[in-house]
Amino acid sequence: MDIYLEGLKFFTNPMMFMFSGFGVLIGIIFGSLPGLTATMTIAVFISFTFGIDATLSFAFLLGLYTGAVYGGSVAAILINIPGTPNAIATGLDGYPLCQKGRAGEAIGIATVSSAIGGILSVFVLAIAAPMVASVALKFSAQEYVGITLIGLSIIAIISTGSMLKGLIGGILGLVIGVIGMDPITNFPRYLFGQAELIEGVSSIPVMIGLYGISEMLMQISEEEHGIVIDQAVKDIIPSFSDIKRLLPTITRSSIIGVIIGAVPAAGGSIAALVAYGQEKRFSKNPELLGTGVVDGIAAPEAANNASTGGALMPMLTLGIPGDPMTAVLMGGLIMQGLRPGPLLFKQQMPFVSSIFLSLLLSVIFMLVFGLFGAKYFARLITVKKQYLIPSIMVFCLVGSYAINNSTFDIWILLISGLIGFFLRKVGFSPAPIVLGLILGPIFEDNLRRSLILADGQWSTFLTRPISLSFLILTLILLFGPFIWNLIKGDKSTDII
Amino acid sequence: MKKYDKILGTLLFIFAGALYFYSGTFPVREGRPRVLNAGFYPQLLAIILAVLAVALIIAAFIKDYKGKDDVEIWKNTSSLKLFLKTLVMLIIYPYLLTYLGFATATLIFISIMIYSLFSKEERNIKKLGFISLIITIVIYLVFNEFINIPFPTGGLLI
Repeated sequence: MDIYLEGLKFFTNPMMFMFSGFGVLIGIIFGSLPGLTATMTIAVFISFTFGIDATLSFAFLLGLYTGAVYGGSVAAILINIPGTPNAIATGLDGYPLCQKGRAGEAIGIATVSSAIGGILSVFVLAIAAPMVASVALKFSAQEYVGITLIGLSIIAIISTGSMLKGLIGGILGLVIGVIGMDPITNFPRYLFGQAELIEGVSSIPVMIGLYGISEMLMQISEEEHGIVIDQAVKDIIPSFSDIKRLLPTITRSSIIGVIIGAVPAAGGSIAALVAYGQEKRFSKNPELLGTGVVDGIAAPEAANNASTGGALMPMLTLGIPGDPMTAVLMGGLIMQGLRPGPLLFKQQMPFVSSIFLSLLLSVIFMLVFGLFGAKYFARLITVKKQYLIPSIMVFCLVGSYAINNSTFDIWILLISGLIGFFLRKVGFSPAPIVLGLILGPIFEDNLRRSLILADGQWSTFLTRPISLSFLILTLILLFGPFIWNLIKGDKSTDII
Repeated sequence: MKKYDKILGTLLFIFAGALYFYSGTFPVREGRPRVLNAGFYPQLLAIILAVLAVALIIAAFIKDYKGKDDVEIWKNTSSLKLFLKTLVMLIIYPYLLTYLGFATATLIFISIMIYSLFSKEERNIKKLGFISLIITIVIYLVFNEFINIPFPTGGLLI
């Protein structure tokens, strides 16, 4: 119990509440705007936390994370355009319910379900994470090579576009991570005369470019659509009897969310869809799902916010992000000079417990802002993109500049944005590239250290049982779907 | 997407080749395991990337498409022009920031971008100018005063 109370001392600072609340508010605003994903929101704002105390910084980022995941549901319900991919399943019943004139009720149920799911995930994270970290402390370099390969493989499979393109994206991310001083020999690699590259390419401008600038360029290259919301959002706060009736749905979906969120690279959108599917199985009236019933909103919303805690688990304990959002959050930790993984639990436990408490606080803020501010957030959805796009671009430009007060990072941002735009147009996802960039240094360091200790023998990865298991799992993840499709003769899965 | 996959696969293959050969110019420690050399890891990545690039090209040839190849980078000429205009503004912004200062650079960027994004029929110069100014003031106050980022002030000292 003491380890959890250690984090409480940070909350004697009222700034923690301010940063958390502010983060949730911005997260909800950006998450509810169609086209602005939660990952993009975190990527754009992450650089502004540079130079701020790590606990305050992470309270803000977790607020963004929680708020943005929830915020996507507002647009999904009101205009059937999910603000974030996590809200796709919410729109299946949320929008039909809105069309029946019950938008406020839909948003209220979504808010309370998200809050309950989020609170459950915090408790699971707080209990399970130290246990996982204590096991991971026994891992050596060979095991870490296996874990990073698993993370890269899963995100290649799960990302939009084909698995082959996901793998190429991951390798490109690893290649970008090579720029800078070689960690073993200190030889400068690929600096091309630029002193700013001595410490490597900063991951933050690359993330902001790939998610922020490329998204804005995508929106510019596509047609505009005016958005109209033609009903007032009212009667938001659900009744106690409604919540009581929905508790079994919310609890089941929350458990699904935590488990799926904990699978590296899975994430909230998958958790929400699985929870929705399970709701159809367990519902007494499954034929009503999709026509506008509150159960169809409660299930995915509980799951997608429950996945936030689950997704943080592999990131904090193993240094492997649970989804693209936590990959970007991991960049935020590294920017503060902190390396996620079991050593973080050993050396910085008060900071880790402040993360649990910050997540809980952000869920409470989300509940309050969601219930009392939903009708105002609804109006934001109609803000014209002609104003939003340039404003967000300035955020991206300024955010990149702010890291090192250097225009060099702006050039990194623009190059990443342009490359990201073209890659996304031909079916690549930014997530594997970002993950490759973040995991690259860890991967290289552990790979070469393992081989140095084994005098160059690659068999070192096969002689350790856990390392071998991770490698076998990686091969199953990479080749399993392909072999399965060959056996079944199924051509529907987009592997290539 | 076949056409773009073939082009991209070819470019990636060439890039992987260049990466491999350039990494081969890094110092080598004779008589020690190759893993100690600075070029070992980039060359390993280059080989994997080359294999994947070839796989992408092969996949583009053998993939069974159900519809026609309908990837459009830009919807029409006007969206291409808008894209290029945006690109120019993004490239100019760092120079504006350095020589004119944050506030002026941001006002110019936002004004031109908002003006360009609205169609001719929807443009109301006074309204757009006013909104651009408000957005710039808000952004300036948030970043310069609230977050205290030390931006260049340029010749106009703002």
